[in-house]
Amino acid sequence: MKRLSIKLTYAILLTAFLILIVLSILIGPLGFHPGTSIGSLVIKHRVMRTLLALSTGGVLALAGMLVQYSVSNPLASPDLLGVLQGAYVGSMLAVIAYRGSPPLGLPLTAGFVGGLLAYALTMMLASRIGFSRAGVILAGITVASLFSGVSAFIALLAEAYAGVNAAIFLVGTFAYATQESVVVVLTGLVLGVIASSLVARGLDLISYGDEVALAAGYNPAIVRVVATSIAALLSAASVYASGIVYFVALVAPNAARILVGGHPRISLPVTLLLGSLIGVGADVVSRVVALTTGLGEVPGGLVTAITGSIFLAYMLMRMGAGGGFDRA
Amino acid sequence: MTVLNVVNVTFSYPGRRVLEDIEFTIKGGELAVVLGPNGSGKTTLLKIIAGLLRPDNGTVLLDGITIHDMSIVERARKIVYVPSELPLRGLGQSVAEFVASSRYVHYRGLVIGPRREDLEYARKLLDMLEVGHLANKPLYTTSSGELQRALIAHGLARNADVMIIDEPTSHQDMYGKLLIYHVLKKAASDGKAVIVATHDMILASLYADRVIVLFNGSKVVEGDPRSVLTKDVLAKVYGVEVALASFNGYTVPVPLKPARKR
Repeated sequence: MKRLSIKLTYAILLTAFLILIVLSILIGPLGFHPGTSIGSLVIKHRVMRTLLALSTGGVLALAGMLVQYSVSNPLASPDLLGVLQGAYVGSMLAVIAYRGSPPLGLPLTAGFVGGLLAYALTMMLASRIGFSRAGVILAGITVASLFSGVSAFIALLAEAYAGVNAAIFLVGTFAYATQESVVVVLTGLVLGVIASSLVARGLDLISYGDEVALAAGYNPAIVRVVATSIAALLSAASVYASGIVYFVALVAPNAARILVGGHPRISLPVTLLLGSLIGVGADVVSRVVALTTGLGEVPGGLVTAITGSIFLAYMLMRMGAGGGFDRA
Repeated sequence: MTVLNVVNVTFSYPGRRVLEDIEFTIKGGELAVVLGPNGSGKTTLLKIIAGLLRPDNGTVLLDGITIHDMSIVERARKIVYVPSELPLRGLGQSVAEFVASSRYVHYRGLVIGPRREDLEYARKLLDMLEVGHLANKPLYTTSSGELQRALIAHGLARNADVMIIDEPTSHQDMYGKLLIYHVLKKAASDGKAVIVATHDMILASLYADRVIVLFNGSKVVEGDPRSVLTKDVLAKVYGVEVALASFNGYTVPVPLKPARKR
């Protein structure tokens, strides 16, 4: 496939991103009335919602890239490997334990632990069935299904015992944006980018194999632990604020690689931009769908789940055609 | 000048002795070739010299310092190891980016990819190995022969004092084999200690300054190719009958037929 120049790619993506942000602030069931006091409250909420959608998209895209490099597998992502589901279980358990009002930071920490636990389970299973690319994904699907089921049960518990509207977060939504959730995810995004840059060269090298990295002066175990921890923290932040948003972590890094090439020095900024763009875009589409169907609220995560699975099908066919699943 | 001493190296995998009391010295400027049949311990020996495996007994000294006591960064700056196959082909990085990544160990601070000058250097090395046209292609699209040349370029890019290469020519045609040995010979003449493991006794006899022959984990013989690659040694080690062809001051073993003496 012939690539557009990098400048043109940026121009197109940035334009689309800005248009989506404007739409995201204009569109909603209550219209656009900047002069009135209610109107400005509505607009303030939409700004928060937009910020949450773009930062959640960004952290998920980064988490996806980190996971993909640390297992050298383009199909790996925190949702396909069960990390988001594990984070949901962890943070909801914290919410239930404190009857809906847990101390600050606890749901985030519990989400981090839950996500890491799910990831560890996936890797243990993957190592038992051989670390092929297909093997890692099959192990991930197994663990993700387990934690999806547990998540649904936990959601019922949370509604019954903590009075929390937990079910809608099973598919991810940006509708419950608060100043606090926006700050958490935006902070995660900034710290995540800085921390990832510290292990970027090591991640680049382990994508050629652990021995190559070790012989080149990078300890693969340390690189992997750091990258995985950052990815789990980012996943926990996204789940804490927006629930389980599917497929952004898979789609954004892969689309970036298709658009501008595989090396992180070029694909990282495009990955972040695409993740944010997908987040805001999904939220805008979900609101348009809600308006046209007359449904009160359609979660943005529904849009990413449906469109993302189409992209996954495309990726699988592309890789199948390009010399086999285990090659690229 | 670089001096690499392998001193009494012994190594076992669980339940299996792989190397027994190996000892030799290689100096900067030399191209040393390790020969030996499959399973004789060549790859294990190279991994020990590269610091990737720790010997059970004995030691490897680089200019008097035990390489297994160096930090992995320090070691990678001085010793480069090129495996016979690349286990994974990355996530779409270009061939030049793969080659230049070998230089990361020289970087300090927050640099997330190869520097511009290192990408230029990578292109030069790829040109030298006559695969310069692949520089911008994703690594995973290369053939096994092209990938092997990219691996050699990855090794050269480090600019380390010691270069260790496992089977550098297994995927090459005749031209590619000679080209790669020419490049390695030049690296040696630039002052590097180059150590190659191979099955190709003909190329060894043409290019090696020193040949080390392994058999069942022990060093059978060591020296310049003419004195080492004799009919008796090759019959004992490889179980083949050879004829020796002499020309231009070289003596080249030509394998004739299997002769089961092993």
